[in-house]
Amino acid sequence: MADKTTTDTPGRIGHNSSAFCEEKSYEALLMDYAAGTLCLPLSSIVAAHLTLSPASREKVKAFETVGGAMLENNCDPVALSKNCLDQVMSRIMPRCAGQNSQSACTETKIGGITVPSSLKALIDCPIKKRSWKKLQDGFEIYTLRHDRHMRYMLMKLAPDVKMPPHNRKDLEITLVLEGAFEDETGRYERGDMIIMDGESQHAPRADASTGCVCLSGRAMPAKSKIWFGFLFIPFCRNSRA
Amino acid sequence: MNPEPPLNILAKLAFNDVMASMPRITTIPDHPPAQTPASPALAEADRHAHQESLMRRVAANQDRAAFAELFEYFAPRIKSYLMKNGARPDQAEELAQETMISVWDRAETYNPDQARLSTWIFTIARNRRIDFLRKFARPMPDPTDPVFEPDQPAAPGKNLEAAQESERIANALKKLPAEQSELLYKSFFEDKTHGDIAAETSLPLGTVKSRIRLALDRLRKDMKGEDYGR
Repeated sequence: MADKTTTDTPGRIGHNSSAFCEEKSYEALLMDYAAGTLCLPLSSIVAAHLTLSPASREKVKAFETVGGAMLENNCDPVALSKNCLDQVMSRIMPRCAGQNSQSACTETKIGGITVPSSLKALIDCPIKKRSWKKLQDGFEIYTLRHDRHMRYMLMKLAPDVKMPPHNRKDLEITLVLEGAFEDETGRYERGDMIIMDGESQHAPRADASTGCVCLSGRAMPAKSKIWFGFLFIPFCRNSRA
Repeated sequence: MNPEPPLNILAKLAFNDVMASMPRITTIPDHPPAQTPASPALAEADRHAHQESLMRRVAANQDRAAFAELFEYFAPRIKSYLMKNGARPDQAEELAQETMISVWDRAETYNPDQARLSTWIFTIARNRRIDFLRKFARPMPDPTDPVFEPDQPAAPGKNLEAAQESERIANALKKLPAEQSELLYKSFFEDKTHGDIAAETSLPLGTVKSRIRLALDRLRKDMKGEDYGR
């Protein structure tokens, strides 16, 4: 599968399997996105969250301000080559009117669900045939992408349906696209992005009137011992290395 | 005002030595170093105001001399940023050129009420870096996307608020203890995992994580909003 990130230098976040998304918190994820060090799939999800949540855009802006301040104060200037300025002055062109006007983005649908356009990057990989799979009454999934670290899918829960409890052993990222769900930690609505880590039991229930559609990213398990393992078996490897 | 850490002063002096020995293309003087005894904060505020006015000239009049002055200041810093993130010097220089060319091409889109100039230029350099070193186009929220949730309508005085908040964030960064800001810098700016940083600094991994968390906690006080979307 065409996941370009796996060919980069080891040790970078998103490329070294043991260090994938090392600091697993909401804030760290936004910081890495602002810094430009987050891998493509997670960047795509964060961008979708930003599309739906104005408050999150403010937080990213704050991190970008940190970046700008570091550029001014913490970057010891490195000498440029002798003719660098001349070269750049010969490359800049007079601007024309309307040169920076943006063409409007069209509606993006994945699996029949209208989603933020940034999620297109998640489906930019070969998967034989994408379709909604019913796992039980009122609960369907639609696979978007899988790589050596994570599996990404859309999840649709009918109104008031409760997902069977599953053991989460590693990173799980959820973005609510439509409707809402509740679990023991609170209520989550359209635009909310939830980062969860570590072992715990987790049993979300969809809103009783609207149901819920989420994007979910889960770490690939080391062994296939999970409740919907029959879907994972062809893609599972013995270690995450 | 808090004095700059000694390391930065030494680095700036070394840089000045190097620059003095190199043939100069123009005779535009370097901006005075920030640690002028009289008032470093004032010198920095002056520099910001001056650069904003240069940017206005570039946007409104396609002023090439103003652009050249901005280039002299920012391009060596952009090159430094890119090299710290893994680019070779020749690659870093080419990307610094491309960044400044984007600054020229998109000058009219820069809004000083939305962001400081260094913030805007940082984001352009960061995007060029992702295109080139990471080989993907950075996913971004698109304001023309039909599902885009627009910003709250700006209350009167909100733009001034935004500018002040940026200043507070930048000042908060400077006030961080060196032991925290150095690690934040490596994590944010040098694309290093906490494990890398621990190895490099011979600090325990837990210490690295907790110092970065402390740094973010301090900065958080200057960031808008209490709810972090869980």
